[in-house]
Amino acid sequence: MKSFTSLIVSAIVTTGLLAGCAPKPKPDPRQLDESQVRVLADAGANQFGIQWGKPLNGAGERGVAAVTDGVTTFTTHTGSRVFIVHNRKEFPPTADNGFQGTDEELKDIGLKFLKAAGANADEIARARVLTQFTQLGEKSADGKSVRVDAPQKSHRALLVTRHIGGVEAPSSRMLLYVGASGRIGFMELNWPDISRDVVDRASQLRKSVEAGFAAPRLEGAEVESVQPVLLNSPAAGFYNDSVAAIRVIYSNNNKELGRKAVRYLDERGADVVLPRDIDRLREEAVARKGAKQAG
Amino acid sequence: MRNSFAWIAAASLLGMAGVCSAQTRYSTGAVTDYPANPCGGPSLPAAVPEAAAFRGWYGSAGLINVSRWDNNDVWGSDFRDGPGADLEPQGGSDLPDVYLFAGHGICQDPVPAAADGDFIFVCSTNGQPNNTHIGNSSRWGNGTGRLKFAFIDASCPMDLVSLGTNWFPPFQGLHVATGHSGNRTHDTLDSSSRGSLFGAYTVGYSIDLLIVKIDLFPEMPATWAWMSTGLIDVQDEVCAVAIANDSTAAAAENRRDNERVKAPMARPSGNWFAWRWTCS
Repeated sequence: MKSFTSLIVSAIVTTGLLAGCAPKPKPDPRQLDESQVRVLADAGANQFGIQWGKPLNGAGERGVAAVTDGVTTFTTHTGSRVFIVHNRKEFPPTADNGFQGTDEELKDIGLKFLKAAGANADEIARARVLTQFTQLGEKSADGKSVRVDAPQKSHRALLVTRHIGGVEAPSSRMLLYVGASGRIGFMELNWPDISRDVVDRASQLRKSVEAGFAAPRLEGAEVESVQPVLLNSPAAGFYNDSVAAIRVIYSNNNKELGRKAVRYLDERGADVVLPRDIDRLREEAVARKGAKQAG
Repeated sequence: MRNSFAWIAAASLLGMAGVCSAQTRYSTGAVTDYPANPCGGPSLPAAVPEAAAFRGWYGSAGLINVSRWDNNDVWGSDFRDGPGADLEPQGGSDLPDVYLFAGHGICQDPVPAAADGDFIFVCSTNGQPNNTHIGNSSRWGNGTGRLKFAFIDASCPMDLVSLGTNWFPPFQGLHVATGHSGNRTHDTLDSSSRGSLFGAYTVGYSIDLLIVKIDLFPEMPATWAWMSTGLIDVQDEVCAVAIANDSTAAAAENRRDNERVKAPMARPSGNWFAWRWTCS
């Protein structure tokens, strides 16, 4: 028994010595250092009232960084007013841990966060509370009849949309779920500063639209609306692109066909390059065997 | 000794959980080309890019792609029940665990009624007809089918008024489905952002530092991802809808609100359906 114990001890000592000799593994370059974590955590606490637990860890890549205490995670596109806050205890909410305040209180909380993030209040196009509903149904054992219960009101979210200088910015938004505690359950705040050049370009495009911009024809559809818009990359993504465009929405000639075609154009009617989100996979071209070719 | 076993068991379970999530398999079918002859048009420029962005997120999450057909290679029969149809070995929608369709649907005008159908509409020279009546012809998860998540981004394929008619029958082992309710004047817009962000939130994106895993973008249950993204690029009064099936009301609600693409729950069986929606 004694020799067995000695064997174990010597094995542990040898392993320890070898581990000491072994080169230390390189730290993951994506890991944030203590000061970077602190800066991010302070921003989350000061702007959005996040109450951090410990320990805090942070990581980032391709211009996106996040800090977490294991419950709440705060993500930002570095140097941009793009934030995601997620508290895994509060979101998704259960049936009884949703926000208990009034719609006006929910709006106030969201608008306070927008202000704290440095957003220009003049850019708020619309702030509205979206109510969710739930419903249950049961089909009979023989599948021949269906019984459906009455719909029930469920959780609420605040959706704030944006315009800049009177031009709609449909990819910018604040989507906010507040938990029963009054703190953020989930927030996506995608409200980046748009460069002066791009805003000016949108103004030019608006003049083109007002001067009677002729939207190109699209087979099987009629032009339903033409308007200038400012587009930017989504909050979940690794880019911060923005572009001005004329958005043309087409109404389908086949009145039953759903999903309306949309094109984003410059003043000459050419398609603009849309803001990027995530890099596409490298995929080889594929052809489905046995497929008859169209046309 | 007992503790050691406990640790080994826990580690094995964790390992197995990792393997299970890595084995979620997905497909996309996206149709941009709807030429006026023969499909009536118009084409949808964002549908194919939407599916590509969705795959970008799923690929980065390590999920396995089964098929990724575009345009003429997306067949109407892919969405209809049967061995040479939704189980067709190259691209049937019942082959993977997750299927995203991006393309046209059919919207009623002015408003849908309980007896109206919900549809997926493709444009292909193969597997015709191009139009699939979901309630009559789609059955997912039956036989050797394994579809768990049906994500249909096709305008009005999930009208609230007709869910019992159109969406109860397809659940033959299917776990969760998402889509929109609307009509011709309250319609979704062609968009690649909607599917991209939905893809991002259904699988998330995290950095694994070994000591801790940090989510740059959160992973949500499918329903909540759709509640958070389904109203992107839609007209007023369009609703994002998610529905789930199980053996009791509570189980169906739990599945609806908590089931995740990367950690699917067990196969459902039962007659209860629970759905959640939010409208623009």
